[in-house]
Amino acid sequence: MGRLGHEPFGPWPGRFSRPSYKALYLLSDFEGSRRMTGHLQSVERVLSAPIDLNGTGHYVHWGVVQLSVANLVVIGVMVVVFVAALLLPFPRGRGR
Amino acid sequence: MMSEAGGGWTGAVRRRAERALPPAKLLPDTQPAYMASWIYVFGVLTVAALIVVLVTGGVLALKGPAWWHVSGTGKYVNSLHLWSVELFMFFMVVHLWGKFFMAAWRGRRALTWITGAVCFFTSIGTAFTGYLVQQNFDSQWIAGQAKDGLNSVGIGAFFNVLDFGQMLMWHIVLLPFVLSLLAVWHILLVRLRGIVPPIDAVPDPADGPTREAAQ
Amino acid sequence: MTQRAHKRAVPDPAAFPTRPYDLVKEFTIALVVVALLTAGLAALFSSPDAKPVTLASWSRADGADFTATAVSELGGTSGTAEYGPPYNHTPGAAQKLGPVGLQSAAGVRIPVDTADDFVLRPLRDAPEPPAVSAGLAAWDAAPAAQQQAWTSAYSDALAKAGGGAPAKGDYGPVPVLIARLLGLARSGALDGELQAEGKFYQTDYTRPLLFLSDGSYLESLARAEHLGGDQWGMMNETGNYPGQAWLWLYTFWYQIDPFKSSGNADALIWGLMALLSLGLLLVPFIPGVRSVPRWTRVHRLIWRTYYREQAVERDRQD
Repeated sequence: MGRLGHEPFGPWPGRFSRPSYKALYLLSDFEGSRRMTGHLQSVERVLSAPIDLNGTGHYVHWGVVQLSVANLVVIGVMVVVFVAALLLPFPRGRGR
Repeated sequence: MMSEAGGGWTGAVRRRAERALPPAKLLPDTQPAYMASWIYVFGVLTVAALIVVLVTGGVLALKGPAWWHVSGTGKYVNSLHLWSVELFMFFMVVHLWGKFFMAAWRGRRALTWITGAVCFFTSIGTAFTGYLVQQNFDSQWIAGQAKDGLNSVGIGAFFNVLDFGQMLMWHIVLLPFVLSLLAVWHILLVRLRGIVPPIDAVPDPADGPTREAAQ
Repeated sequence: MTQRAHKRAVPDPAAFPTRPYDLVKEFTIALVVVALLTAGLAALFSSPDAKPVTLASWSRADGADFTATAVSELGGTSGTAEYGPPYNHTPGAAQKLGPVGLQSAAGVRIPVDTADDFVLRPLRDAPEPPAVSAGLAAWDAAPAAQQQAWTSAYSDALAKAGGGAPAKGDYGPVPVLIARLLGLARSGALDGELQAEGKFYQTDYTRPLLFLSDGSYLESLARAEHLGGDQWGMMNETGNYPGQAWLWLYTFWYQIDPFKSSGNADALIWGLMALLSLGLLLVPFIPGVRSVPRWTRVHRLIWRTYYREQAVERDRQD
């Protein structure tokens, strides 16, 4: 077996055409970035959410605990709602 | 005229059901006066959220699992499904907290608590399979991670989270069916036993309607 | 309140005064409220949809990682190759819960041979340039020890080169085979081959997902989104979306010792969570736990109307 000097991760000569460098650049930028957003088709851009939660995530660190701000908000709202349900007066005698 | 006795298996089942849950007990239009707290609405909110989850899931099923990636309407329906699930888990956990602090298992209501807890775990499993069948990066990562936990206890050999087809059918057929049955059972138990009285409650002999005690 | 107060029979709800209440109306209102909340939240926030990684996108974005992974698959040193059941028999790989080996007991039910399934068969199923045919022949002719020597030498050389060209050495046909596999991956052919495996209909992504999981690329993307196991990742979602807050206790154990540094972490934690779940189910029967509601007196808040009326009634009678 002769020494095979192929560069293992260069473009492969032969039957398959090289992927376009532009595509490579776009793809590597897309996936190399921290924004793992899905691409909506351009037609559907009108239906994009007004509050875009696809940016960089925010996290709260407290000792070994690491919680996302989003989860913290959800848990916080749950506690607030639970306490409110306990404290708020329930109307009496209403035939709901 | 339905036969009072006899009627075979059908008659027996009907009489048993009517004895356990006569219509006035199945759908009462009164409730004990001690139910005077907003904490009591979280059970019905959970049920309502479950229905929205099932309906939005049904709409997603109309066009198949890949629809929401290629359609703005599909994306919105997927968002409906996601947020109804968040609300469902939200309401269910608040309901759980309330029922715990009420010790709602008292008075032969242990099975109500147990069916509720099984609903909770079944819901977690259903949500888990839901994440697996999104067919996006999340699904890939969650599958790759979850397989380790499941494999370590032998379950992964039979429940293959990397198998989209299997996970989809668990998510849209098996688990919703089981969860719905459990939820119905749980609700019927609530109707059967009635709402648990307050801790250390002692009824005034002069109070209450004079009808034979519920089972 | 006597110590055995909780043993006093719980009275029948029918023995208490009632008031009218419209259950169907309550349910209808709840349904409308939930539907509106859902519609509003969905319109405001939409849902996350991060695009999946393919073998093509992986090999294009990080060819070095793909190459290193492919060599480890061929050499049988990848995570999947050394996983044990359900994918293959690897002594000592299976996790145990104390003396109990559930992973082994389940057996190899999803057999995966990483060298054949991920490298050799895709190479053979695709058109073979002469260099690749020769390479495959050389590979098949070599004894296992020689194959091992080639792959580990090449793995080491790649690691030393850190993404650059590896130093010259005796790697046999491995560089040619892996370079060809990289080309197949970049063209998208490998995605198709691993997914379909010659079949037409297919819904099982086991092979491509295992291959992806063996590399570092998928994990690096996940860690950037705080989805890693030691980042409480089980609870999280991409971006700023709420994730699965209800998994907090499942993921918590992975963050602390002894689980954090144990090879049996998964089995131990799943065993522990199974126990705790059973505990939640059986709360009504667990002494101490079932008395917490009485001690915490949250119930005094919930039923304050009733307790107040009872106190008034008692005072009136006294």
